[in-house]
Amino acid sequence: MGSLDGLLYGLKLCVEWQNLLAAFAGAFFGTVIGVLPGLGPVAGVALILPITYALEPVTGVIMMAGIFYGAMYGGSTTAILVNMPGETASVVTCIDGYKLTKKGRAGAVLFIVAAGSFIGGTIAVFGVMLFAPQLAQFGILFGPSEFFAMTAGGLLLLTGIEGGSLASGLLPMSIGLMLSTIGQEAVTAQTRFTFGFNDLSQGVALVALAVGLYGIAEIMFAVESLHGQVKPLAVRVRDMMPTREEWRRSLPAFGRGTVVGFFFGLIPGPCATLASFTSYRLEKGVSKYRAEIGEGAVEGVAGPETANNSAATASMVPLLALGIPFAPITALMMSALMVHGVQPGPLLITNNPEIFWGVVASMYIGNVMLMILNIPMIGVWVSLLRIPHYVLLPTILLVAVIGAYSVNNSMLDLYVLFLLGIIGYVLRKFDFHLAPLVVGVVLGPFIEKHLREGLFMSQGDISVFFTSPFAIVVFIGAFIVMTLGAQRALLKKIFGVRSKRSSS
Amino acid sequence: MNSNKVLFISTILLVNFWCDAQLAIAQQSDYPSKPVRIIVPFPPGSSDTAARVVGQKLSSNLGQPFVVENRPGAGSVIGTDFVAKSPANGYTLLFQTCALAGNPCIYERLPYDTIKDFDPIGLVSYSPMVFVAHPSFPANSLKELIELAKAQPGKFNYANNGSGSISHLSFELFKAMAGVRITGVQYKGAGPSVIAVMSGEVQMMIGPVGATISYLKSGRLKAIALASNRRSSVLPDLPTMSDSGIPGFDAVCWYGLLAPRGTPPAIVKRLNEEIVSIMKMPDVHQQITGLGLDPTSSTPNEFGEHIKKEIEMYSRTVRDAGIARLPLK
Repeated sequence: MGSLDGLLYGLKLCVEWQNLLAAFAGAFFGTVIGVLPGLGPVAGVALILPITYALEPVTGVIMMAGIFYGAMYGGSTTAILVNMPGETASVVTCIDGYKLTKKGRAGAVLFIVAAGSFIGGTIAVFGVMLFAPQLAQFGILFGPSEFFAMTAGGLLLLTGIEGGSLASGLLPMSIGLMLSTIGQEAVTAQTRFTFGFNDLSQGVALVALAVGLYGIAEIMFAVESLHGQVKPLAVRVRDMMPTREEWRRSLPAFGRGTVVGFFFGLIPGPCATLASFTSYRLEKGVSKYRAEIGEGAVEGVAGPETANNSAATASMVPLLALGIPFAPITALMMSALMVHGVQPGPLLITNNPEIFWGVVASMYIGNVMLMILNIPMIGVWVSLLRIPHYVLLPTILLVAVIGAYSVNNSMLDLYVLFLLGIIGYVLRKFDFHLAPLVVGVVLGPFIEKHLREGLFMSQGDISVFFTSPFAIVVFIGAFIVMTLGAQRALLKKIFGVRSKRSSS
Repeated sequence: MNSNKVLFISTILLVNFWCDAQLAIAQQSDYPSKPVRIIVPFPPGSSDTAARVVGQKLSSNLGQPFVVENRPGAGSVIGTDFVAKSPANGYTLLFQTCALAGNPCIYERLPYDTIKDFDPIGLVSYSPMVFVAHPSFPANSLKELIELAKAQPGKFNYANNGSGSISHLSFELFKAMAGVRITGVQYKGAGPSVIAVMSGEVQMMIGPVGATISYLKSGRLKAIALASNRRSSVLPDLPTMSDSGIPGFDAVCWYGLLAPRGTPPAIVKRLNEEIVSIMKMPDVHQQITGLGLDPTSSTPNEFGEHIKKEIEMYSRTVRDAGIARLPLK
């Protein structure tokens, strides 16, 4: 079945009322889950899993996919409005998004995010539709050497994710790396740094960490500066729409974000998180307005949000085309399919074309539904900002605590929440950046695991990390990007001096 | 205090105690009267799917929601410990796999006692295991594989799902019984390990049928032998490892439901009866076999004996294969 035929077939399936309803329910439920910090798409999909047993397999997967990309959208809402990430992938959105809110551009930013998510998701669906079988192979080609190159190289690159001096990123990143070593070690299952607390053997909960670092610290700052607060201006309708300039600046960010996100969706790992971090770093390195990123530049929001929706969509490729779940959420989807007696695998497209094309078509429709659902909601969200502080701050605190607890039902996560809140507060007081800390915690376990796996399999021969062509490319690329600043200075010296001479 | 007051107070107290007793009796006979938690000590997307299928049926049969709660960590020790320390009122249950029997053998010390802290309710299914290899691996039967491994010791790798898991312990036992040296590479869970074999990073593993069947069917993995002695309906022509040169080898995982020790026997009996009837339902049968599992059921006592035998077998395996035990503080 050619791509266009398949798509038409899928669309016909999609507009059946139960599939439409499933897409809507998934997108809506997913957005709600994304907005609530703590409860992530994995938990949401796990919750509706029993419901899907009674549905057709297509309908079930449509709903679950809807939850996934709905959550990617929803997570940015609280990140932008109150500096609290709805889930880890939205952490970088906090940085510029919140600054823009303080400038009064909250409504505009939410609009741009909606548009970016739509664009990223839709273009990614094109990619899935056209190239799924070919692309599926891509993710398997990655072995430990390639992953090590990517994660270690990525770590180096992402130190500069928020710019500033090297120390302002390096110290928090080192703290993040140290925190990531807490818990059961990936290869031998020995527990490290748990100090007798069995609950710590899973490591520091990422959600509690991100919400504490950003959300709780922000609450502390807000309380501190309460007396100096200016009364919020009434928001005009005009302020809710992005200006022409903001749209213009966002377009390249949308494009770059889509590509980055699509790549990360195809490989194993926390695709959406890595996609948004990388996109932010890319914007910081490449965008014309890079100097403003970190102070409230729209690219810093448009890029990452597009990337994480694109990644969420692309992560369906390995599942649908190969039957390999690269992320926990796609693993859940796979088990839901198996319960229905559908065998996920390379034969899915031929044996159950209705599932493949039905899901692909539903992703188009789902993205449209997300837009329709959320654009009107922007006004509601923005009006939340007008709630007086003495109501808003305790509510946020309450939601954060419930969210952090709900991940593992563990009191330990609450201690992590508050401890990280204090750490975040202290770091910000001293002008350190917070995003590198999260990067360290996310990437640390992967770097170590892939390093050890690679050494294990090569019997201790370290050259395996430098002989893979992909790894070499990545390392060279990382080196080039890291020294970009020095290179520019060097070139300026060479060419700048020349032009001075020629003009005099 | 005058005697009227004493009489009054003691009447109040007596009535109070009588009501409490009635409530307790009522709770037992009205079980369940509020939602029940089924703790699955694994991350979502793995063994919990079977738990959700069973939980859904229990909910509809018993009229109260049976909610699956994932509490992963430390190779299932965290969630298991949580249930061990929960009140034994039948409202917190444990859905465990053969990891329950493997953990006391692989960890030096556990925060709970596997036998004394639990009341088994019943088996739910068996999970047969299969010895698979990458399609390019130059051996098509177990005999050929053993010969190849003996000729090149230390050259090949196998994947396992984590220390103490059945994929780890059974392969180590295989190595000891066959006299071969193959390096073990650990992955976190069945998903990553199966992907590793498929991509050729490692050459072989003993994995659950459920996680490997779709790749076997599409040719991305090669089946060498059945690791369990129960013939599989989805792999009917595959010889067992026991018949292929490793007599007595039988690696099969299982799923079962348990409750904390001291749960009222009436509740245990009720739950067991429900499970037995649920596993006989045709739609449940279909769903469970769709996951690559073998639905079954047992009495609570049979389950308890099974666990004890498994623990014995695994501790023999750990001893015979010389596996180092893990410290768990």
